[in-house]
Parts: sequence; structure tokens; C-alpha cells
Amino acid sequence: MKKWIALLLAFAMVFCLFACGGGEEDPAAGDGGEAEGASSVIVGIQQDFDSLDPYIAQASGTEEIMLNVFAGLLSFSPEGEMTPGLAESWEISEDGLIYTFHLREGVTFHDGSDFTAADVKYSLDRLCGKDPDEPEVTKATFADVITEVVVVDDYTVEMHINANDASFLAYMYVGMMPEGSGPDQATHPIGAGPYMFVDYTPGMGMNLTKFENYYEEGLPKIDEVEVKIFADMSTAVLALSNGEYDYMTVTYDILEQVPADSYVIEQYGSNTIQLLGLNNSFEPFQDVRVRQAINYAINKDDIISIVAPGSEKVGSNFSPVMGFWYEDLSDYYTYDPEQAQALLAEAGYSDLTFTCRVASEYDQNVDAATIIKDQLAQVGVTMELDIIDWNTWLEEVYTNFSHEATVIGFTGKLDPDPVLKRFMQGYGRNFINFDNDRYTEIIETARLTNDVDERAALYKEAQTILAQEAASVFIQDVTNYVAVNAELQGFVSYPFTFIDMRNWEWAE
Amino acid sequence: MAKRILYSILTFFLVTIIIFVIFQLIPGNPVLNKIGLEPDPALEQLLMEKYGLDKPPLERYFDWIINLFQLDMGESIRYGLPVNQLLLDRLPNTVGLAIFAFILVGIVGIPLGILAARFNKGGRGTLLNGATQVGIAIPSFFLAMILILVFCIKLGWLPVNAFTTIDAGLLPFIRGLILPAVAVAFSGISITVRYVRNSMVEELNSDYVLAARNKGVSEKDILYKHVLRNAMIPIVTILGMIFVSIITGSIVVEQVFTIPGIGALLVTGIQNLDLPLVQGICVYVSIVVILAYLLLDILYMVIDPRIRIKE
Repeated sequence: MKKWIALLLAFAMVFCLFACGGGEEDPAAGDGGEAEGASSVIVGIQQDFDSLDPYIAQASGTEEIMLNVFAGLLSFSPEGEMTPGLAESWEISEDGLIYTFHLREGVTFHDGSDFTAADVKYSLDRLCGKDPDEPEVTKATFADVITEVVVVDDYTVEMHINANDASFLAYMYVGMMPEGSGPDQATHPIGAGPYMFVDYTPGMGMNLTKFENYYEEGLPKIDEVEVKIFADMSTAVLALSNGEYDYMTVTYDILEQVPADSYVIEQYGSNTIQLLGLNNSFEPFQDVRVRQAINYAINKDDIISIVAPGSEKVGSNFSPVMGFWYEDLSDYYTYDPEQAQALLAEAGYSDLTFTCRVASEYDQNVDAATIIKDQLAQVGVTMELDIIDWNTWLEEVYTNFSHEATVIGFTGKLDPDPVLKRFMQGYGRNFINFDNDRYTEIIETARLTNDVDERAALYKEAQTILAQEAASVFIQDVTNYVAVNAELQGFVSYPFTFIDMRNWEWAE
Repeated sequence: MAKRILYSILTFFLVTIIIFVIFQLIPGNPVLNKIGLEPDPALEQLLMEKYGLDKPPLERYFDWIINLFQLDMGESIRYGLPVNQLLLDRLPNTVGLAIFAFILVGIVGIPLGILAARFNKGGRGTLLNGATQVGIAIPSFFLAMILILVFCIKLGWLPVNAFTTIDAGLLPFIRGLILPAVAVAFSGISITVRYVRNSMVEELNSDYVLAARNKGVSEKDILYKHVLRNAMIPIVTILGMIFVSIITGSIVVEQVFTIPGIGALLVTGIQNLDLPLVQGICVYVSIVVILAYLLLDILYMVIDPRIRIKE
């Protein structure tokens, strides 16, 4: 008798819980939520925001979303060109030291205040730590370069920089904020971007809503965007197969699990170069023939087909995504194990052994290293793998240069300077210890060259030097894969991680 | 009693020292992690000073301890926010999950254990042993995935991302916690069933039960008035331990269900080598554990007068 009562009680409890849940139908679930008239999109991202204040945030996972909330003086095209943003036009003085920006009139921030030159000055002063209320430098890249921001009139701003720097404009996409809003940005970000911040739940996500007064006519098209953070990739894939995200960046190994009937997989070159970095001061690698031999011994196509099919093969530290600056050197060292062996014998390193330290957090790099290990074994080179954690990698490899080789990918930039200067002398993180006078000279000259064609020619020469000297083994521009709801249109990709929501719209 | 509390405080100090030393030994530099691949020497210097990483470890330890006693756990390096705030934001989620799971353990585990003790005859005992053994052995994250596959994908009763914070209302909050709580509570239930059963069976075989039966006391009264009360001590002990393991053990399950709780925060903290944050969470967890055991000791005295008298 009592058995039944106890069982009944247990069942009643469980049933009650389910029943409570059952009655509560979530209106946001289902596709697009268009039934209610307001269109919405759910985006899945893997990392929590490190700060909502774009000047304090460092993570690229934060930037890819917050670029929708903030607008900068300049914007950029999918090809990586700088285009007018909050500034309609700009001029550069002849010595390259003064940049004059003419601001778009009639632009408002999300809080309704007008965007004027005073806001530009406030924003940049805050970045540089010159705002007396917040004297902390938040981005040293700006503080090092900008000496003064001068308000000429309400819609004209002059920026004085301390040395001619052709890469300066590429940083001007940094988001503008209303005067005096700094201290509140971390709790309630206010910009002039296409989407307004609604709320943020730590560890869970953020809600955005369309900004009606956005300066680009007719954009954005979707009313609400919900950004949901997921902590676990395998659960996220299940949620995806359940149709719970409309947009989510995925890795190659889970592509097969994405339901093909309801999602389209978009691919794009991420401008991220994956390379086998050879420490040029490690004794065997001081000999250019050894470095070349390693280049000949590695079959990049094999790596690409296993790690990230669809990726572009590269021959230098530059991605074809930025076509204007790009020199195609992808076939500089065609796979040739015999040539590799000959070069090694000539250099006296037929039984070369070295260690490659890779950060365990990045599967693509660990996988590539494993394949490289096999390929090198075929020409008699022993590459030992030392799998370390990311924090150790940052300190040991990237800061102390205590490695013989490593596999790493560098995320893209809008300007060639920060990409190529990684290997110049005097740069604090030249972790491969590449030492080439001509190369350093080119990077320094190019930075001072305001003529874009001349500048491009210099960067192409720099890329050629990296290939000729076999500074390292530059493998691929790693392809990014995004699962997009098949009904959602308007996907646009950029040379770096930015989820552009402006053009999204649901198919009729 | 005073002695007991003193021990708790001593334990706490020992724990802070161990936590601090361990995190000093982990390789890597949190500031390098924050800055990432784009070097910025000026910012690096600034952040090193801001988080006191340029000071010797001993000084840092005392700074930390002194602040702890002022209830200030410092500022998270990754989030740039006070650790207190980060913890408080996420505490309702973790506590909600823990309470839910604990209630499940209580309302499912204890009655099932009593039932098992009453019908402990023949092959049933062996069968139950096997079943609970499986329940204890099954990893919570594995069970979590199975639950998602069955209830979210196959049956479609709940979305995979069912969790909402309590701000969205109590019912949606509870609804989002159903599967996670079952995943967390499952092994606890199995353990409870075993303990309750064993403890009750033992008591049922003792002389006073025989005496009571001979006196004509009904089976019901024997079971619930005498046996259950005497069997309670080991059960309370095991429930206390289960509570602690639920509080500390929900980390993986929180990850699987994307519940922004203390566990998820700890994982982010460790990945980013966020020392103040990770230390803060460890302190929080150890306080919970120490308090739970202290409470347990007090509870013993309430339940069993013999322990009270002994003291």
C-alpha cells in the first residue's frame, strides 16, 4: 500500500515539474519569430564578453559582436578597404602628420545625443588616457601615436600624430562614444552603430535591438538579435541540429553534424595565417638551406585537406583575402622530398632533430603539427611534439622565444603593417627571430609611405623575402566555417572576425 | 562547540595558503593572456602594476588575505570587474541548481531507500545493488548528454538551451534546471538509496525491533517512529557529503547546459589564468564546504542526544 503512495508522490513531483514547464511555451523559439511582426535572429558564440566597454575589451570574440553596437570614423569593406563611416571624408597633410576628418551631420548616438567633434575628441582622449576623469590608457596603440586631437568646428576634427604612419587610418574604425559616457560603457554600452544594446546576462548572452536612427539608410533590417553564449561545443551542435541558433561559427570536425536541410555553410578566408614558425636562431635553422629543406618536405595541400578543407595555400605571411597587398607565393616551394633531403645533406643536417611546441587549446594547430611530424619523418627529420597549454605558450614561446619551432595562427588585421612587422627586428614579438636587414628596412619605409601603390609594392617585396629566405613554413589562410539558417540572407564576411548583422534579412 | 568553530577557521587559513601557492606555481602570466597576440608593452606594464603582479608573492598573499577579511576578493583580470560582483551574479544559478538537485536526492532517494529496505528479500537486493552501482558510476556529463539527446532532440520536450535566469520568472527558471538537476542528482540519489537501505536493514535486525514487534507495535510505527530515527545519523552524514559534492561537482554539468554559474566562471577563470577570480571561487567553495560540515556536526547533536551529552 505505502509503496504505491510513495511512488505516486514521486511521480506527482516529477510530473508537476514537467507540467509547469509544458505550459510555458517560449515564443522566441522557432524560426525567426516572425509571427509577432518583429524579426529576430539568434547568434551562438563561444566566448563570454570580457568587457562590454570596447576600449577595455581585448578579446576578438567580444569585438566581433560589439562592432555592431559601435560605429567608427571609418568603416571597412569586405575586401578590407577603409571606407567612410561617421566621417564622410578625410584629408592627410603633406607631411602625413595631420589627419582632418569631416564628420557626417545629423548622426545621433543610441542615447539620442548628437554626434559631433567633441565626442570624437572625448573618445580618443579616453583611449589615450588623456581624459582627466579616466586617466588610464586603454589602448596603447593609440596613445603611442596620437599627440593631440583638435576640434576645429562641430563637424571637423584634426588628429595630430607624432610620426608619419600610413597604417594609422586602418585603426580609425575604433568605435565612437558620446562625451562623458565612458564610466557607464561597461554596464550599458552606447554607440552609434546599427544595433542598440538592450541587456546582458553574464555568461548567457546579450540582447540587441535595431537602432532606428542608424546613419546608413535602410539598415539594419532585422529588428532583434539575441546573442547566446554556449560553453560546450558538443551541446551547441545538438542545439544547432534542433534549430536553436540561426548563426554560429563552427569548426571543420563538426560540419557533418550540421543538418544540411536547414543550414547553409558559409566559408570565408579569415586572413589568419597558420605557420610552422622556425626559430631562426636555433642552430640548424640558422642555415637557410635547412629552412628551405623543411619547406620542401612539407606538403601543404595534405595539411589543408585534413585540417581545414577549402583553405587557401600561402607561401608567405600574408593572406589572399587582402588582394591589393598580396603577392602570390603559394607555389614557391612545391612539395619535393628529394630536394629536401639533398639540401639537408648539403647543409650537413641529414639527421636533424628538433622540438615543436604547440598550444593544446588549438586543435587546428595540433593537428597540423602532427601531420608535419609525419611528413618530416619521411625525409629523415625527427620533429618531437611538445604540447603545452596556451598560457605557457604565450610566456615561453611568444615572450621568451624559448622554442625551436611552433605551429600558430595569427588572426587578420585591416592593414598589412601589423601583419608583416611581426618578423622585423626590434619588434618585441618576433618569435621566430627572423633577422633580415632589408626586410626591416622595407617595413619601416612602407609605414612612412602614403602612396598606396608604392606601399603595396614594398609589402609585396617583403612577402617575397619571407618566402625566399624560408623564414618559416607558411601553410594556409585558415578557412572559417559558419552555419547560417538557410532562410537567413545577407551573409557578408570580412578579413577578420566580425559578425556583420546589418544586411541580414529573412527570406520571404 | 567553540573548539569546532576554531578548527573551521584554521582550516580556512590553511586552504587560502594552499590555494595561493598552487596558483603561483601554474606557469604563464595572466596579463600576457589578456593582451593576447598583439603586444603592447605599455599596457602590459600598466596591467602588471594594476593587478599587483610586480610585487613579491608574499606581499601579494598578505594583500589578498587582508582584503579577504574586508570581504573584498579583488578585481578579475579578464573581466575587469570585482570578483564579488561576478560571483554574486552567478550565485543564484548555481545555488538554484544545487537546491533543486538536493531536493531531488531527498524526495527520490530517501523513499526509494525505505522501500528497498522493506522489500529487501530474495534477489531484489542484488538487483537494486546493481542498479545503484550503475547510477553511482555513470559520469554526470555523460548522463547530461543522454538526457539532452532523449528529451530535447528525440522527444523535443525542451529546447537544448532551456536555461533562463530567475529574472525571467520562477517557472522558466525551474524548467531550465530540470535536466541539469537530474544529471547532477543522479549519483546522489543512487548513493542515498544504498545508504538508507543498508542503514535501515541494519536497524531492522536489531533487538529493539524484535522487542517492539513482540510487544505488538505495528510495522508502520516500528519503521517510521523507531527505525528511521535511529537510521538517520548515517543518512544525514551522507546527505551532507552529497550536498557538498553537488555544490562542487556541478561544474561540468553547468558547462554542458551552458548555465552561467560558478562552475562555468571557474572554467573561464582557469583558461584565462585569472588568478583573483579563480582564487576567489576556491575560497567561496571552501567556505561552503567548511560551513556545511560545521552545520552537519551541529545537526548530529540535534538528532542524537547521545552526541550532545558526550560533548
